[in-house]
Amino acid sequence: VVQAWGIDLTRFQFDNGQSWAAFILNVVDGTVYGRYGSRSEFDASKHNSLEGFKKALREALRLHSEYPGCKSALKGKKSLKVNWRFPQFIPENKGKYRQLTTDRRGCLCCHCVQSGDILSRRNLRMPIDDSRLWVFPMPDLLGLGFDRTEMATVRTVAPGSEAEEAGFQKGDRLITMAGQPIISIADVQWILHTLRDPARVRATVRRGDATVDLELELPKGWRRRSGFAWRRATWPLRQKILGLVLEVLPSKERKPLGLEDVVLALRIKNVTPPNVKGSNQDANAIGLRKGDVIIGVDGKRKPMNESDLLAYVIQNRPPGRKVVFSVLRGGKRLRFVLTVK
Amino acid sequence: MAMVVLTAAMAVAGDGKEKLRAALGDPDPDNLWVYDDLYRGIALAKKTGKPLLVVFR
Repeated sequence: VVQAWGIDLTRFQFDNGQSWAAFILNVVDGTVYGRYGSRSEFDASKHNSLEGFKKALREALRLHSEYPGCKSALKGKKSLKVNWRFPQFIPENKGKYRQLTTDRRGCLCCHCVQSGDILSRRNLRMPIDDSRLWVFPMPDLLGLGFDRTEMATVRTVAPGSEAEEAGFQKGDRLITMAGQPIISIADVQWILHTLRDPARVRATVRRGDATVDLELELPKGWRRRSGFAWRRATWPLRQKILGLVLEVLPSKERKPLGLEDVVLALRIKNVTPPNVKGSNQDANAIGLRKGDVIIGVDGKRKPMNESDLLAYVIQNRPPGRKVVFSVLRGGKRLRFVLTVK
Repeated sequence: MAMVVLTAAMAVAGDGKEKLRAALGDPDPDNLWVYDDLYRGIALAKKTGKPLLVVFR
């Protein structure tokens, strides 16, 4: 699949922030045997391998040989309910892209599924909770690192993490999670993607000759341990909603400005230029500049990264509402009121 | 057992599909993949009773 145009989202839901992903299913009733392909904000490929993919495919074939006996266990792998069945019908995407025929111009890319969904929901004043922003969380968030050459074998357990608390050990082979047979790290991500906040999830691992049942507890706000701003889907969000690209001010650059590490300091990397179609140009209009350091948002000073700020605006400031920024520029404190889109 | 393998979702007729494949640098010298035709892939999987592998890229 080289474009999102025509993908039936009631059947194919995967991490569309990736450059490569695979889906193995039974077309008779849409039973999903598994997903493959994972990436984190730090690395596009370190969680994937040909060896791991081969093992996942073999296991998918084994599940298929057991079909329909395994059907009920696989039920949870099917797609969640969607508002728009095809990406081209998501209101934000309508009329903006074309179906690929001979080249990639005007492509409705996979990441437009997430950005289109969020922007459409925003314009329609529909709720956008954390699960729509922090999608397909990596199990590393909970201290669980997997061996990429296997299906889902634990390679590392972070000290003090929820994974350690649950009793996971290096070498454990994850057999099921939330009752679903696991064939890849992407399958684990799928389960995390569908969980609430906070949540508990049961897992069964093979440890040597023994089978061990574990329970993983996910505390409130667990998704927010990572960022989502690395995803390509974020580009339309930052351009259209804020018109700003931001980065956390590094520690060594804070001291000269008298800023502690524990306070908000987001530097403006770029103000979206006027030639970006549909972008919010209010940042330009009110005079925000590249290099300005945001030290307050609506009076709040708690530390945020770009994902946190985007989420704050997306979830709390509908289009047309204002956000008040306190900004440091050349040693002076300035106040800007930005109208978000 | 084997799988039906599919590497694109859209039904784009004959020459266009080849042009698209060439433009995107997707060689398939052994002609193993059902390229750019989800519905053909689904039909083939149904007919053969095999699972379907879809690759998104």
